[in-house]
Amino acid sequence: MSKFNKGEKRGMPELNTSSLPDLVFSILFFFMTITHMREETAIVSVNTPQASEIVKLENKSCVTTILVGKPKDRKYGVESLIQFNDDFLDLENVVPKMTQQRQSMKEVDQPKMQISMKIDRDTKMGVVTELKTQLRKAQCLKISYSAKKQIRRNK
Amino acid sequence: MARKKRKAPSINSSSSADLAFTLLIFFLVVTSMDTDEGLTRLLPRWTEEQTNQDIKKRNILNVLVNANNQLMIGDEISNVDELCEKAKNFIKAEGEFAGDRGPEYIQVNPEKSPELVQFFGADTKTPKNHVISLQSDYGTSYEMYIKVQNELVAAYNQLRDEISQDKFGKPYDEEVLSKEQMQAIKDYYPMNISEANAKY
Repeated sequence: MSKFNKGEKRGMPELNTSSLPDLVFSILFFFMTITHMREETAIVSVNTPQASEIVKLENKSCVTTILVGKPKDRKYGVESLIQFNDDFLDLENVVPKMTQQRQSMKEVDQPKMQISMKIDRDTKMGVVTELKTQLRKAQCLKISYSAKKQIRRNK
Repeated sequence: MARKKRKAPSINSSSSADLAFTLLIFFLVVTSMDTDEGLTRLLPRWTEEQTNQDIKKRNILNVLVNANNQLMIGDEISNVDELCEKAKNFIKAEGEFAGDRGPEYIQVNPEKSPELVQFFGADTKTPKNHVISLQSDYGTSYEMYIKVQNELVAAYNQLRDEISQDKFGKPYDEEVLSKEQMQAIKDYYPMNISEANAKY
């Protein structure tokens, strides 16, 4: 019998995993607090333009998003359409919908209501201008042209 | 004889990690971290009848974008790259600036009016009467429109940064300037961009 071989096999000591759930839970809570459920699925394709001077929109609870772009489903045509809350929005319905949206917000947030317009870069300005006119009629005066961050070249 | 206390058998918690992991993965998938960013604007109030404001011609810088995405600044066809510089010179409204670049550079040169601005004194000459009139066409592409808007905002930001560096020795930034200082600079260079309706 060799001196070093003790017959019985020595196993690795088991790692104590009792704190693993706590660890995972803490990450879980982090994500739970940070999450707001993903918004509506886009039925129009939107590729926002790039701009360098953009600012972050502050409180999300005051922001209403409107999308403008070509419909993904070709059966709706190739003209740019407006999407709001999972559905197409006609220009005539902008005012009632926005009023409804404003009413559904908290009273303190209502004057702070802000419209974030996510508009595809190939959209013609005609649609955008008409949408803006309707928003003015609906008293939604705070708007934002959503854009992607771009570093300014010549400063 | 003292009875031994019988221990309650501990619950096997090895699966709680798995449980937490599934929840974690769910929230990971569902989370969208992206914050919305954009160029913010305040639209004018809607009025039934068209209001005609009398604005002196020298106070207006016309920026036109046509259906072919061509740009006109003042009276001449121009390029997006030049817009920022031209807008800056216009807003600054310093006679010698317009003169430096030749008379055709920017003929209009907004008047300055004395204004009480905090930190700057009672009769600070600010170009508060100037208006940049941005007109687009029905067929202008949105990408071009945003490019132009971006250049105009850049012009304001650069001017505000310059005056902030001069006055406070700090960059124009919410994080380094106080609220009052920010407001004073905004009063000094107010952002007057008029987005006229698209032409048909």
